[in-house]
Amino acid sequence: MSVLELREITKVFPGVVANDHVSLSLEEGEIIALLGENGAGKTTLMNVVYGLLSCDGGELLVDGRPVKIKSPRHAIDLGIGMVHQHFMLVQPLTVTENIVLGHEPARFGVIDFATARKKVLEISARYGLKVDPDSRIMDLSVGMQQRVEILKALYQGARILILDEPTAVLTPQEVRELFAVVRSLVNEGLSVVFITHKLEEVMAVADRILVMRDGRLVGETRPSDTDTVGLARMMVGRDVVLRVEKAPRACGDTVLEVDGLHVKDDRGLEAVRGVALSVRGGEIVAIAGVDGNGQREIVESIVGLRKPTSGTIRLKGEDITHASARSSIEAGVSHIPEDRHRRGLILEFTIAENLMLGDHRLAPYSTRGLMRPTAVTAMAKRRIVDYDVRTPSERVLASALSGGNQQKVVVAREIGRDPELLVAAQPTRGLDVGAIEFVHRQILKERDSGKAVLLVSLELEEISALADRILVIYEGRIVKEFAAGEADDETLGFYMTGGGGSKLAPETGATGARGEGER
Amino acid sequence: MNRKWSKVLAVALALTLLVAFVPGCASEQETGEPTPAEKPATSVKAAMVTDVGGLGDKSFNDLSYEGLKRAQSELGVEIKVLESKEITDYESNIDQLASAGYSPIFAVGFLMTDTVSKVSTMYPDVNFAGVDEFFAEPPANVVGLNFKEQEGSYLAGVVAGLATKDKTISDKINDDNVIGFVGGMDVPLIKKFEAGFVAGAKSVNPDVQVISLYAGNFTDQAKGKELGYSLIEKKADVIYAAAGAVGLGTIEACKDKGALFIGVDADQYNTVPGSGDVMLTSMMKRVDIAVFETVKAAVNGSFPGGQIQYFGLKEGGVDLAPFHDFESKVPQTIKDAVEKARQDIISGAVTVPETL
Amino acid sequence: MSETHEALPEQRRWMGVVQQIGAPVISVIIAIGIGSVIMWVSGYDAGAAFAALFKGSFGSPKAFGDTLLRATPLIFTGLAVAYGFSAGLFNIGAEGQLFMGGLAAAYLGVQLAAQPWYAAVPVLLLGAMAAGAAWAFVPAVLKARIGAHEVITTMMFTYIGKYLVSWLVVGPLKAPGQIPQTVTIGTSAQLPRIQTLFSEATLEALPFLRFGRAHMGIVVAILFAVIMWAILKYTTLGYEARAVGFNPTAAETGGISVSSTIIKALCISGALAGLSGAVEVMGVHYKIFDQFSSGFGFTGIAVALVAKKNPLGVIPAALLFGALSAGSGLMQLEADVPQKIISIIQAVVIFLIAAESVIQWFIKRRQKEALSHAG
Repeated sequence: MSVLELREITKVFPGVVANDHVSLSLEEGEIIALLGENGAGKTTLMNVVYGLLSCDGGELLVDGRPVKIKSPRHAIDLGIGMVHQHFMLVQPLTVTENIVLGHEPARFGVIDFATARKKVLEISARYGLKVDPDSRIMDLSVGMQQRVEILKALYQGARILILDEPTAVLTPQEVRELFAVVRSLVNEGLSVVFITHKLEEVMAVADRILVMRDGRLVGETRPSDTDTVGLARMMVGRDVVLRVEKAPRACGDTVLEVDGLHVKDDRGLEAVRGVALSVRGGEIVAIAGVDGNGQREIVESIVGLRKPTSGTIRLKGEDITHASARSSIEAGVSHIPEDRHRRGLILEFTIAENLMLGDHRLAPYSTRGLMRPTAVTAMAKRRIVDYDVRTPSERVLASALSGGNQQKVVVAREIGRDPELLVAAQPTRGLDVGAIEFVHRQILKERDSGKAVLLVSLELEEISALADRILVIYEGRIVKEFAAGEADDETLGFYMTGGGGSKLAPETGATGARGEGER
Repeated sequence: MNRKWSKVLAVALALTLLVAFVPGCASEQETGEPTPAEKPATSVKAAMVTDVGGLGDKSFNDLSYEGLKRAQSELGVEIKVLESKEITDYESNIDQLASAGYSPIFAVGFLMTDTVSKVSTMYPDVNFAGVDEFFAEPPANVVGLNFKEQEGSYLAGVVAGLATKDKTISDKINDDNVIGFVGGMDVPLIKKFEAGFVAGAKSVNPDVQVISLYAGNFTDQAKGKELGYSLIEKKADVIYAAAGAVGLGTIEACKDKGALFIGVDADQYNTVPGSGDVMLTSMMKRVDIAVFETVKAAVNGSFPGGQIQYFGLKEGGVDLAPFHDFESKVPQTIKDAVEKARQDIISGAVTVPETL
Repeated sequence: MSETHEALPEQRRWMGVVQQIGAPVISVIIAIGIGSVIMWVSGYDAGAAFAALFKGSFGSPKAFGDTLLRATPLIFTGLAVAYGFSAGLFNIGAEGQLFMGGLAAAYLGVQLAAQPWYAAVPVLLLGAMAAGAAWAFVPAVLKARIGAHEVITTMMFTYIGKYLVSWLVVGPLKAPGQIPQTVTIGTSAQLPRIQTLFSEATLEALPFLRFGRAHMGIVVAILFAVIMWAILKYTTLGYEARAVGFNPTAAETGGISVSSTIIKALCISGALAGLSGAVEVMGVHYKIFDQFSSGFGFTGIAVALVAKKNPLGVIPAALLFGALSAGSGLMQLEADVPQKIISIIQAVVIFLIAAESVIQWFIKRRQKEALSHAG
């Protein structure tokens, strides 16, 4: 008998059918993966199961009995636990306190922490979820925090565990550990729903794969019966090239030259500690690293958003170390920011207005402070076509676009400007495979036309797909350099997490020699 | 869920609005015009326009309205009051009353001086009266109603000049021969108060030191309190304030640090609750009398157009309020001195200066 | 999911039109309903009251002129606050900038009394703009450089400005006489009443031109509303202000200097508020005194909110406030409703119209939420 069964679940938002008669079942001890692009309706479906949303049609059965789940509390009582993409933990409290929150064992009205702690330890030992029950959440890594979330669900008696995009925030090592945990959970008789849009993960962990598209269940398969290409086709509805073809590199002159760069972060702590790197025309140099090791500060220094404390940045020999964002743009630096909602776009602006941001002072978009709407419209219409932005009109607000189309607007603007140097920070974050393919193609096209590209990414897959050279960053220093194809994910992950030793001095004086030794 | 809550919220809001405003509205009704008494009817329709202070200011607007109401019950005239909320309302309010056939129309406060001059030319058949308004050359249908504040202030000065030497009146009286004056703005109108007060005090106590401080406006109560403190620090024990709402702050200072206070415009013993223990007396401007007399003249067909009228002690336009709580403590000598000064001024034996 | 997204903008535009026009009308109807209940409960004739309100504000050319007169300063302060909003700034101190603008106009109007109108009027208006901008400049720099919140600083400068004027009209700039006010400005520097521009014969033939007290300031005000609309829509200045207002981080990334945009925007806002003071001096009082503004700077905040920060929307919003104010005299005179009840009715109308934009904001947010759930 299925522990969870969905029959013809339908959920309608104003103007959008998020779930269209979706039926599925989950057996005891089974891992199913819910695969689909962003916006396919996976999270909505699971929010219905978890009682966060009410469905407009269909039926839910838990252990064969029809139920109407009214709230997360109700879901928990039925044995359903969910770990969200964004953790819901209280940062200053300890692991134990967070886990028992809402289900505190009390004796005479006083919280019995001793019993709680014992129970937490017991559960963590049973499922191999090692975590210190007395640490404060704010002192834990993201992977550890996720464990706490899982522990919390187990503590509350979950037999069905829903994991929403659980790997989005993890390092490769942490992903592997998570998969081990998930397997030990199902060995103990739990059932797991794994929401993701990453094909490799599905192949590695799922027993059964359910693919969603446009709110409908479009396919069901098993890892043994398919491969990533087949899954991608099912997911997107057409053939997708997962790894875009890359022409051999034709290196030009050095475009970007960074030397002895020291930068402080927002808190005033030194985040970049003596970085030297160079990018030549026609090559993609990728900085690989775990989030928060100084990548953001390097990028912001190059594009003029942050003042370095020391060091030099040169663009084609010209010193732009202290350039403002404006003069940096005018010097030929384009920037795809890591956060398109915060930095990349003005969501309340139209597509056309967003497309001229940064060039709005220049002819033909404006002359003597007066804007030229016809020129702007013409440019916007052209770029919407060139960069395949799916929109009825250039007058549509950026906020009305899907994530992929929003990113296409950013890419269209930054590449359409025809820069000398493109700095792309996590350019495919949160995008689905179709959009990722598009962005990757654009970046490669830029490289093939002889431009310099500096790529910062947390996704090793993306780095190995695009980079000609890979610089591994750890604690504000470049700790290792590899040529494309020289290192596998394991090796990169090893250096990214400090395996190479953080004391490793940055390679100096090698800027000129760096272009050599590959292919 | 959201929708449900917004509904609940809307209903709650509507109820709050009703509950909050209805009692206020009900009480508003009480201030409405009393039913006209059975008096011989006259065709005169008298009206007034308040300044932005509006009714309920316990000062000129209310006093003028008192005068109108008295005219209504005693003379049987029809009355109407339009309250101004903005300065822009002055002209339209006066204009609307004039075109609705009201005459005389009283405009309360010097800020309406220009407006009255302007509108009066458009309605030559309508009579206008400006309370506290000084017209350079009043037109034939306009009268300026002004007051000899210096005369009333002179009496207040007599009281203060004697009281500061008499410890039997209150334990708040000190050994120093110092009294204080708080003015609103340093303008001629307020100087009249100060000049009369100083002259009155010196007439009975030539050595008395009068310290005068000005707030710079008529509204800042905190400033009034501050000025009160500094006067008391300089040993002033009787303080006279001609400063509108600023004086309310000075009353607070007197209660805090122990000094006596002389109120202004109305009998502030009645209009400022809880001030009885410091309120020695008040210098009253009887705007109500001036308004009533003017309506009466209009009814009798002798509207004093083209004049600037001054209401002094003789006309009953200014006066000293009762001592109230201090009635038994103020010695007869002071009461006699006040009475003597009053007679001297009325008889013309003493002329009170308008400036220092 | 892209298909559904594509369907939305059209749908939205349609809904937008209904919301823009229908919702304020519904708000006014509800306000009249609530106002009637309030008056009925307190024993007044609601029908007569609203009839008087309408008659006193739109019932005759003269009444409409009174509405225009009262709307004139509010258009400027509404524009001032709305422009600030566009750049993400809350210029709560328009009142102080208004005082400085009025002061500049009153001073220059006396100095330039001998000049012809075409020399005097532009200089007075420019002078008032400069004075208002100067009064906003220090708060602007404090905001841009050290992040001092403009709500606090512009408010403080309002106090300074008001006290400065109140000191000047009692002291150095006081006209001879009993009243604390400045000397009357030259006739050439005054903004004439509209009806004085036409001959008696024209007025006889076209009586609807008898606009009573309305003066040429309303023409200047409407002109500026159009100018501000064009600046926001068609200049890089307005583009950068809006960009900073919506998302300063993205604007900065796009090479826009956030701090200089803030300074420019707050100074422009101050200049507009300064004009408000100037038209009051040049068109109504011909001099400045302590209380020459009845809080127009603060009412401007409400005007800007009702106008949803759109410069063209400021015109009808200011007319609404002007009409409510113009009609209050006749409400007292003909319906015997006390001013305090009228104030409550006015507050209800404004509250409901402002609430309407709050409600719309909620609707939009719900739509957004729905999309992000689906997305």
